[in-house]
Amino acid sequence: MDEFQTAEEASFLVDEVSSIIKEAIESAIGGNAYQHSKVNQWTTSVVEQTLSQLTKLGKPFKYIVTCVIMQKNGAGLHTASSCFWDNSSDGTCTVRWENKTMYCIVSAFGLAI
Amino acid sequence: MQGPVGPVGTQRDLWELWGYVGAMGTAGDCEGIQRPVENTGTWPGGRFPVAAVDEILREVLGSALREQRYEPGPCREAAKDIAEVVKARVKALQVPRYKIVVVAHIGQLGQQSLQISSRCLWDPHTDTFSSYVFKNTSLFAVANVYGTSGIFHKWCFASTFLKFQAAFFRKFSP
Repeated sequence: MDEFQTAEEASFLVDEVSSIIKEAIESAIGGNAYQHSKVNQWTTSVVEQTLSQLTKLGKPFKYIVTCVIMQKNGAGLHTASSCFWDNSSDGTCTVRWENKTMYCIVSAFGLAI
Repeated sequence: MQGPVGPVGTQRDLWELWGYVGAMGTAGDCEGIQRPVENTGTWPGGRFPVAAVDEILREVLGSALREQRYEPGPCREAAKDIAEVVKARVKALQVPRYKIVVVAHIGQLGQQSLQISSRCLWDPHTDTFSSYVFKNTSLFAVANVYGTSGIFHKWCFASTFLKFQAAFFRKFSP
């Protein structure tokens, strides 16, 4: 039982991180229409909230969180990532969110120390 | 730190595209952070070679996209290829004990506005990033490489605000 708990504590759990990201997006931009003047504040808010919630998990990880918010007007966007890390401990989670006026893509990478 | 990138082309109707990358980290940001681990020792490895990685990004993005027009299929593949190739070339620099994360975005130049921001919780003594913005008349591309060591000295927030606004449509009168 102790070993299982230790393993969980030290691993990157995608479901856990995914719900943290979704909450951060909803609270920052949920229900809002795209506004150019606010997008700076929104991306900052999403990223900071995600990172502070990840930090509160208290796991021995370094984190990188990236957020893209793009206005919807028919233009295309592609995002890809590639990592060199330790497969057994490190992980990533990407959440794609949209409403009628904008797309939001948030990626979180957790790298064990 | 990169300065602003200049305007695109010399056509009459110009899309102005600019990107600014800045990084800042202050120890003060971390006062309230619960520290899950203590100092794990002295850093035996070298520094992350930011200049070499900048060069890799410039070469890879330039050669992959210089003549490319935006098309959904090819650009989707190009984003994946760019991320893989950049990772492989940074790996080939053989910096000991570094983990590498590469993120690549390719987008169509349209009348949209977008912002890309990232923030990291890492050790500023050893960890850093490199970023490059590419544009041509049809598309833009942004690639970030983050290098983190497998060691911890002191927690710090580092914010990389890549403000990338591609929505300024200017008409230049004759």
